[in-house]
Amino acid sequence: MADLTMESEHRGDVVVIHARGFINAHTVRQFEAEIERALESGRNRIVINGSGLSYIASAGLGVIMGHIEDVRSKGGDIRLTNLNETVLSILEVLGFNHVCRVFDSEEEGVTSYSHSNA
Amino acid sequence: MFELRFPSDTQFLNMVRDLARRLAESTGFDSEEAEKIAMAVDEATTNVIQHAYHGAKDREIEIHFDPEGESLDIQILHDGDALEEVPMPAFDLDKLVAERRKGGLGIYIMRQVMDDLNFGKSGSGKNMCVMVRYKRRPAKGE
Repeated sequence: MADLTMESEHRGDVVVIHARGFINAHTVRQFEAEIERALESGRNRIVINGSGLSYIASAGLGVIMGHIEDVRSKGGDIRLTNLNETVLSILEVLGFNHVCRVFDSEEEGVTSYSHSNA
Repeated sequence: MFELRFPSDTQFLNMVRDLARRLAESTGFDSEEAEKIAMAVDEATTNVIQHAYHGAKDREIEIHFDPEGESLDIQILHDGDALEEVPMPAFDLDKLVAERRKGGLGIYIMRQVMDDLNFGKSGSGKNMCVMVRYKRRPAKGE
């Protein structure tokens, strides 16, 4: 199995990025490249579906941290969905769940954009 | 005591984290705590690769796990540049986000998860990072 596979799909004006595997210093460039690809295409409403994500190290959170303010200034956001207990506890260790909105399901993450200004 | 030696290549990080988690579990930590300890080991090892060895993949990293006694003691040894804990401001995630910072979270994770974190020299003259996690954390007020 690959360390990390990334696939993006468009749901309306939201880009859903499916991350499968783990994000650490070894795979983080792949993760960042997928986010940058979405931003370069002019799409700022991003949902990261982490249903297949087993782990995210600080390197991965750093990518989100480095982009989220710019994304928000353009009217978008980076939102996370379908995270397992391990990944959720990592977010909690840093309080990252207060920086980034987290939803139980992809559906909730995608529809959240229609209920907000972002 | 359990010792591990491996090249300073990020491809081994996942294996090291997995091993650290299993060792922490076998020491008696529950799976959630073991996962956090493994995360601290991952961050410390990443720091060595990126900041002590500057990304070189062919240097050696050595990790010693000592589960005896009241704590799990973890030493991460290397021959690269010494990593010292510089005085850091209180953790302010909102500020880091506002500054678009991509790095610097690892040390906070290590501090948050472990009970003690120190940098120094080993008896063999290698640079090392020492992390300690007590098996029984004192309850508040104890």
